[in-house]
This record gives sequence, C-alpha cells and structure tokens, in this order.
Amino acid sequence: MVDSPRDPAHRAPGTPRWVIALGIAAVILVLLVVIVMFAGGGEHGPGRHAAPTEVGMHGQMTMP
Amino acid sequence: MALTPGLRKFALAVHLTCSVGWLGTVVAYLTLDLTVATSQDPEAVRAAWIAMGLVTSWAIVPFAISSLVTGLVMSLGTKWGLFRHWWVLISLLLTAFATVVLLSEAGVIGRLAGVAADPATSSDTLLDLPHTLPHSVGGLLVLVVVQVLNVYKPQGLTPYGWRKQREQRGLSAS
Repeated sequence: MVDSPRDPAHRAPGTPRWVIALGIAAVILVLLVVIVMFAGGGEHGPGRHAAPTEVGMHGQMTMP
Repeated sequence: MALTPGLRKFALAVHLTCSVGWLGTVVAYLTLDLTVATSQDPEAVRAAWIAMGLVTSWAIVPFAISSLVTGLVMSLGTKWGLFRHWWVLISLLLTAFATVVLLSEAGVIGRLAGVAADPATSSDTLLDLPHTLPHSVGGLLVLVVVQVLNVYKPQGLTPYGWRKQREQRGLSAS
C-alpha cells in the first residue's frame, strides 16, 4: 500500500473543538473586560490602585 | 527524563498540594477583598487589607510559583510532555499568565497593605482604599479552568505531539 501525503494518516489532527470553544470564550471575556475598563475610565496601570491621598515611599501619609 | 513511579507519585502529590493550595488561598483572599469592597467599617477594611498583604506574600505567591514549577516537572518527567497535549499546553499557558499577573500585582497589594497598617491613615482614606476584585475573581476563574483541565484531561494532540507520536511509532515499528 502506498503511503501517500494525501493519506489521512499523514495529516496532523485538527484543533479539537473544546480548544476552539475555550479560545472563543477567552476572547469574549477579554473583550468584555476591555469594554468595562474603557467604560469605567480606562486606566489599568498601578496608579489605579493609588489611595486618593498622596502616599510617600514608606507608606506614610503626606497631606495635600 | 522519565520519573520513576515512586518519584512521579511524590511529584504529583506536591503538585496537587501546591495547585489546590493556590486555589484555596485565592478564595481566602477573595473573602477579604469582598470585605474591602463592601464594608463601611474602616477598622474592618484596615484588618482586611493587612490580611490580604500577608496572605498574598506568604501563601498565594509561594503556592503559585511552586505550582508552576512542579507542573513543569510533572510534564517533563511523564509521558504527557509539555507541548504534546492541548490540555497540558493550555494549563501551562494559563498558569504562567496567572503567575505573571499575580507577581505584578503583589507589589501593589503590599503597598496598600502598608498604607492600611499605618496607624496614621485616616478612616476616610481606609474606606477609599480600592479593592482588587477584578483580579481576584479573574484569577480564581483561571485557576478553576486549569483545575478542570487537569482532572478531565480532554483529548487532543497538538501538531507537535502528533509528529512525536508518529516518530515514536516509526521507531518502534523498525
């Protein structure tokens, strides 16, 4: 029997459906997060966690 | 670099402990995070933030790094390999992603815990300290997905895994 490249045994299996479904779910989740972030103001750096009053290097409060 | 059966069981026990431990400590962190998000009591918020700092530094980060390292050991030391099966590859990517995000957030958490621990911090400032719910909920979701993949091990060889399998079959047939 000729072992030809057209033989299905030669072809790598396609990506499983559960991987595709997981990938789609991840993309949808990321898009939702991005939309919520932009709707909420947009910042996603460490500054978003800054306390409203300025804080010095060692956690000491500096009043404005 | 196949592990002996005894070593494999030991490595699996350590990996499971670290992985489930990571998940458990994130749940504990989440309950504190919810307190920060919902409480109107500044002292409760102070206590929650101090605890969040301690849980992150002494439990979550060590478990996360251990889980990632032991997962690598398990993959490389068993038939599963690192890139041959889709469930292993996706678990690795998600675990690495979660660890990177955790390590980048750990500094922020430590700083805010420091603010909360400072006796000079006013009640208003304590109540204005932000929560980290998007990260704690998102992190928990990622860990649950990894846990499910590791238990169910859904079938599927990557193209690399399929090539390796063919090579091995070719070698054993010759």
